[in-house]
Amino acid sequence: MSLRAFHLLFIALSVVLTVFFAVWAAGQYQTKHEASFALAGVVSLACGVGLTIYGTVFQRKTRRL
Amino acid sequence: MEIPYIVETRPDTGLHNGKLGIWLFLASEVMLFGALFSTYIILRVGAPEWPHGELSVLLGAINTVILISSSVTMVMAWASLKMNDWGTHRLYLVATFALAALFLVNKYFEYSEHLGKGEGPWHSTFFAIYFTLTGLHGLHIVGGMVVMAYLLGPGAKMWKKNPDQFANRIEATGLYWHFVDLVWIFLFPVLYLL
Repeated sequence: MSLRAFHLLFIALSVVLTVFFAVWAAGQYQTKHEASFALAGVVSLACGVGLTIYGTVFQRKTRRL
Repeated sequence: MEIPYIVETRPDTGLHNGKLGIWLFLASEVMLFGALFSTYIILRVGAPEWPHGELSVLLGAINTVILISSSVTMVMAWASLKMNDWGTHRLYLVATFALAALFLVNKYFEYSEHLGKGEGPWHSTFFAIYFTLTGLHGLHIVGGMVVMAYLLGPGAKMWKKNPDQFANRIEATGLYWHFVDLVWIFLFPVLYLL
């Protein structure tokens, strides 16, 4: 496996982690009602979207490497 | 006699020596961390109760962002080299090194906080496995930094003599670095969230 392919796999797993973290934060918010958990969940999802966009662009731009 | 398959790929494996070597090494690393993760599962399943909220999720999340960013800079260092952009390559490799150092500084503060409260590995089963897993991971970060420092310093001379072999070395370093980052991607939810 090349570094390019490993990097894409890593980014995909990082996206899964951001979703998992957002679900965890939502659960914490439901039980503790602290706004910081809601904010953490939103930021995590935003990071997930950012990583997905980055992964797509990286995959397209490094096709010839 | 010249050593074959340093740059060109071997027909039967489709890999050059360096890549075959790093994947064999990473396979042994999977077994090492796999054994420790299994230990964690056995200890946790067998424990009558397991502590929650002992670790700072904020510090763990910051370190996660740092390591994901460092994987991006590492792959960019390799991509720049493949595009013959030496200056950008150096910049990205220095950035990766700096992010690794930042991770360790963050970890130092985290360890200091716990040790200051007497929460060392001797405190409980949870802290024993926490320090074992994160300590071993931290040592891998240090190992990666040593390799990066070599490639930024004396090892950089190879770029002029044999640029393809140097690019292969950077790729092997990148594969190792991604593995270390991947371990953290599993460590963070297991130790900090669940």
